[in-house]
Amino acid sequence: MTTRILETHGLVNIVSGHTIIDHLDFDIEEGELRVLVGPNGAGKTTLIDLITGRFPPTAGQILFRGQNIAGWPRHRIYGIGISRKFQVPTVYENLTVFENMAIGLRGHRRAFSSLVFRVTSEHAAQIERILAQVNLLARAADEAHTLSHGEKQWLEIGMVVASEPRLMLLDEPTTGMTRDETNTTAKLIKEIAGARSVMVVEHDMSFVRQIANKITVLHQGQKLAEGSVREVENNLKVAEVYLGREKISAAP
Amino acid sequence: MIGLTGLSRSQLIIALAVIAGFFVFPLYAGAFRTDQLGLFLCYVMFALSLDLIWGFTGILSLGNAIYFGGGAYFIGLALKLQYAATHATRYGEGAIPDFMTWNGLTEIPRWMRPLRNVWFAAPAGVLAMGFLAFVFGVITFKRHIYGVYCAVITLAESLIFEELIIEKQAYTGGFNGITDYDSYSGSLHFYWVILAVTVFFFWLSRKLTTTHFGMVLRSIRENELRSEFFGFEVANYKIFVFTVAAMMSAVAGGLYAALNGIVSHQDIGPILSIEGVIWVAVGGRGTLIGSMVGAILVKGAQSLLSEQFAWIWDLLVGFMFILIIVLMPDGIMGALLRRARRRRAIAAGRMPAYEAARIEETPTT
Repeated sequence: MTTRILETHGLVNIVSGHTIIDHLDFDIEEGELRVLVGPNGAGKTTLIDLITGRFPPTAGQILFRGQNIAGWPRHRIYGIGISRKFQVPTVYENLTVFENMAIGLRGHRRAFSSLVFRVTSEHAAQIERILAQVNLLARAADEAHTLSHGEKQWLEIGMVVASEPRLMLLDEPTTGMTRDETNTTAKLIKEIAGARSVMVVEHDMSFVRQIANKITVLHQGQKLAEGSVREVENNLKVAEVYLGREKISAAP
Repeated sequence: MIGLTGLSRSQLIIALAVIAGFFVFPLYAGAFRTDQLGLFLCYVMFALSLDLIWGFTGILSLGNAIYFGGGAYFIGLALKLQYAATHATRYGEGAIPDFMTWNGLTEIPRWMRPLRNVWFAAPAGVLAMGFLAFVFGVITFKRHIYGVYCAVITLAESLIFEELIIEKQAYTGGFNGITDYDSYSGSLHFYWVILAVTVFFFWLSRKLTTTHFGMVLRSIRENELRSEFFGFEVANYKIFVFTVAAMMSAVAGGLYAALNGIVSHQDIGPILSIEGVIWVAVGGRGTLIGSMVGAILVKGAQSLLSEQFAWIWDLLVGFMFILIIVLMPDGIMGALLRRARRRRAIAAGRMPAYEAARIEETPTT
């Protein structure tokens, strides 16, 4: 029997009268790589925001390994093993790539422990290993603002990997990437999944087909469909939502 | 020694040379210039503390003078009480400071009596300011107030304290401040004490900012939301650094009061707070050395120009400030560091294309 790392029960988020997430029941299994798709405003980023504690949900439960974390402060949610990448790549622009990674490293979160923390050669080796994985080893000493958009995406993914989460939430990791970069990212995500659970929010269907086993389609804050790529692509309701298009694969 | 300071050999030599220069300065300069430099060093410490919270952590505080002035009033009051007690011919048997008598007090308030011992007043002042900063920090940062709102709140706090000092004149000397007490003006030894404390604070600030803690501070400055989702309790980091900086300011203020021989509401009000922001901006945020250079440069220019061009010096200082910020948005040290980084990057052959293009556009390089 597989166990669920994350479950939401009757999750609701209402922002100034608008229902963004509407009684959502959603779950991810331990070790799973899940892709979340849906048109703009479907509530994909909001779902990540709720899971990571950016806002408390209006109602409902968020269970992480059986524990209700709804409304917890952000650092505690991180502490139990949930790490996110933002939709717009969010790195520390005036810190070097290496320093960015060092901030990501797990441990030493409290002010007093970070006063005595030292980046050891083991940490450095770990950082270099991850930087090699995200193709940024040669840029380690450069400040992050000198990176391209796609490289910043990789750096943020690398930082999330360095924080060693049990569940990784990647919001649109390929935005602004060339086709080659996107393919590399697909390979990268498949590499880092497996050891941990990953949820990826994406629009790019060719990318989704490369990485996904199971897709969840979100629409108006509800689960519209769930299943394999083929099942979802042939789902009539899904086609309807992507207005006038024959199939989801025609979506931008 | 090198391991202790985290400086490279050449940096250490420069640092020691600068310290030595400050150390021997009074042996060649007169008492007036020595006192002046001592006061500047107090401003240097004030700028250092502001650089910790603004330059490194990104908290724009327009109330840093609260802690400087607070520390100054503790010491000013202590020295005044002491002076009154030891000059019975001037202040009568009750040994009450003049401004208290003028305001109808017949004896020194009970709660103020421990301050008659300056060795109690000094640590009490520093701890009190640390506690005050801690409380303000909790109120501000736990509630996620940042940016402009934080600047406005700290400005308001600064105004409130200046108002309180002026209003409660029976205890503070009001608008005239506390004056006419034995200061350490002209004391070579006291100047060296100030120099030693300044060096210690620089060392402490470097320790704080070059450890992993300092990197977390910079990450908060760059993007505090990102840091929160990486599990850092950003508010705690801010409260910690805000409190440490306030205590540094309080020490600087105390030394300032002891040297200057007068404490006034201006030392606690928003003007000094904002002046501090200017020094740090001119010298270069987030560089420590920049804030110190900025303080000495601006204060030095102010006093030299005010001696030479009494009628126009304010304008000249303002003009200089605008010029520096327009030409060097990152301040003097920021501009120097950027040039050094570029040169290293070019030497290593890893200059990003757009940076290289910018160099070609800039005629100065």
